[in-house]
This record gives sequence, C-alpha cells and structure tokens, in this order.
Amino acid sequence: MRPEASARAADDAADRHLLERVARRDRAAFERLYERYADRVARYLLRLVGRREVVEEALNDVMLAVWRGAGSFAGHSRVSTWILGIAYRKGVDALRRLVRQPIAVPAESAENGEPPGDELTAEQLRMSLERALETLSAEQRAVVELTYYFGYSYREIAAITGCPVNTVKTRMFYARKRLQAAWSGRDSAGSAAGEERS
Amino acid sequence: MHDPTRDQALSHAETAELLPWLVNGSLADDDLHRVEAHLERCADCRREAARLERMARALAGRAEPVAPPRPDFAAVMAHIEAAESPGDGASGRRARPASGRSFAWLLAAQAAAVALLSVVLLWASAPGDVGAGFRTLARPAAAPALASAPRLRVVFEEQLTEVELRDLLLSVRGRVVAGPTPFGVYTVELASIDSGELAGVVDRLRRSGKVRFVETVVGQ
Repeated sequence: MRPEASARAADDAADRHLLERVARRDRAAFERLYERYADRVARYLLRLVGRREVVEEALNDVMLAVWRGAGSFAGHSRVSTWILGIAYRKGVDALRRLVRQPIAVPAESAENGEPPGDELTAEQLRMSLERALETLSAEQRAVVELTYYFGYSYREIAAITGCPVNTVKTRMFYARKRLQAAWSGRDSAGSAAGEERS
Repeated sequence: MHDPTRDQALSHAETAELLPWLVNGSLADDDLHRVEAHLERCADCRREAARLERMARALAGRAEPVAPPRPDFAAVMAHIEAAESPGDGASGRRARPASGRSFAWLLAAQAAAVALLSVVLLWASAPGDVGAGFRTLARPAAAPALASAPRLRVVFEEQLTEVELRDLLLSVRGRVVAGPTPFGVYTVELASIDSGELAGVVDRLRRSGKVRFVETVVGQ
C-alpha cells in the first residue's frame, strides 16, 4: 500500500468512528467531524459556486445532511467521499439557482489573433481560464475542480458525483476543450455545455 | 503482474481521456502502466500531457475567489435545530445537554443577559406603571398583529454584553420570545414589517458583527 493510501485508510477509520457516534446523536463527535471537514467542504463549495454568502448556507445544509444521514451511511465509500458527494449535490443545486456573474476580463485577452498560450502573461491566462470555467456546466466545473484543485481520481469523482466513470471522463473531455481554448489564448465560441454525450 | 497485451489494447483516445488524472497523479497502477506504455510511443500524447500539466498548475494555483467562510459550529447547530424544529423557537424541542465545550459559558452569559433584558421589558410593559406613557420600540404595542410578526432565529456573538444585546434588539424592533436552546439559539420576534424590510433587518443583523447566525423562521 502506498504511504498516502495508508494515511487515507487511517483517516477514514477515524471518520467512520466519528460518524457512528454522530448516528447516535453524539454532538461532540459531530463537532469533531465538522472541524475535520468544514474548511475542505467550504473551499470546495467556494470553487464550485464562487459566492461566499451562498457557500455559508450550502455548508450548513451539507452538515445538516451529514447529521441526519449519518445513520444511513452504507460504508461503500470513504466517509470523505460521502461528505463531498453531499457537498457536490448542494453545490450544484446552488449553482443552478444562481445567475453567475461573468468575471470582467480585459478585452484584449479575448480577441482573436492573440499570441499562443505561453506568450500570454500569467494574469491574462488566469483571467482567461476563469472566464472559461464560468462557461462550464455545474457538473463539468465540479469534475475540473475535483481533479485539478483537489487531486481526486476519476473513480473517486464518479463516487462523489454519483455517476459512471465514463460520464466523468466525458465531462472532463468537453471541459478540457473549453479550457484549452482559453489556455491557448482564444475564446471558445462553442457550446460545450450542450455537447455532453452522457 | 504487468500485462503487455493490455498496454497495446489502450487506444490513443483512451489514453488522451486519462491524461488529466495522469497529470494530477491519481491514476491507479493498472491505468498508469497502460498510459505510460502508450506515451512511450506517442509524441502527440506526450505533448498533450505536458500542456495539460502546465494548465493544471495554473488551475490549481488560482487564488480563492474570496476567503472561505470561517468554520462556525454554533451556526451549523443553530441551522440544524431550526430545521429539526419547524415550529416555534425552543418550545417542544428535543433538548439535550450541551456537549460543546465552548458553549457552556456562552449560554450562561447570554441567559443572564436575556434575563436582565426580560426584567427590563416586563417592568416597562407592566400595566399602570409609571412608564405607561413611555413606549419603547421593543414593546409589543408597537406591532399591530403579533400573530403575523416575523420571527428570527439568532445566535449572538459570545462577547455581547447585555447593553449591546438590548440596543441591537431595539434597533430592529425585536424582542426575545424563546431561547436559549442548548446551542444558544434565541427566537426573536420583530414588529410587523413587510418581506422587503425583513430581508433588510436580516442583512443588518448579519453585518452588525454582533450575531453569529441569523435566519428567518420557516413560514415567515
């Protein structure tokens, strides 16, 4: 077993113990579980939703679902996967309710005829990527963030999002098209959100 | 055991599909061997992997759009208590002893503050008292219909003094009608106002720096 896998297994064992106590309505255990996950879930929701006030509400909803659902945790996945799965559903729900406000991008960075990606400034690339992320569907965005920001495997992402691994790969495929267009300094006028073949 | 025939079976498209997870280092050993075997003989995929790696660094290195909210367990418990008690504030709630170590002194302090406030309000509202001609903003007489008065669930900041609590309630024309719950949740009833004003009051309380959690009671 890889060292990181061993550490994850130990973490999960501790989480399962806490969750069993939460199922018995042990509030001290719930507070401990909250301390372990609040920041991670908040950062994930923030990446997904982008609005702090929405994140606060969604985080409370996630923990309410954990409190209520602790007794029904089947144990088929790691506790962290289960909790992030709840966060994913709450985040996607929140994102769908929002009319996302586009990020202001300097006009020159979105014009055709830009130099290739490596010649753009770091700030131009960042803004271009942010804008491309804004155009992704909630589901595509979640896969991108779970992969590149949180480092999850596609199998773990399938468990978190509750869909087949092929759907995860497909969402990433179309998200990559958008992001790579931005990365190379060109604006993608396609409709990646509607192209999904799942 | 490594199976070279499986390596050969992995197509260019299949490899390209797995590259994001090669880049983030999460591929399981079986996938990893097959992807690496393909990369050895495919220059296109090697270039694509290198490009994805640069993009992944940019994506992972983005700053948070805003600072994440600070963890606040009291707010979560208030939310849970509110969700599990859709009726009135604290009455009929499945009260349990507070296990949170940080709450005992908070509850004691806030209970004392509210007790003091209750004495003040009772004195001020006693019939025929010397203050009969004096009406505070918090007095029920200011609200035409208590039954329709909106209610909030509030957790106050730990350091709030009785004077600050009173001023805060007066500023929003509110009065404590229930609480504290084991996790410090009070139910505050406001004078009758319309929904727009209610949203403004909630926003003002959130921005006051004096409450840790506030939400309207379900059905308001």
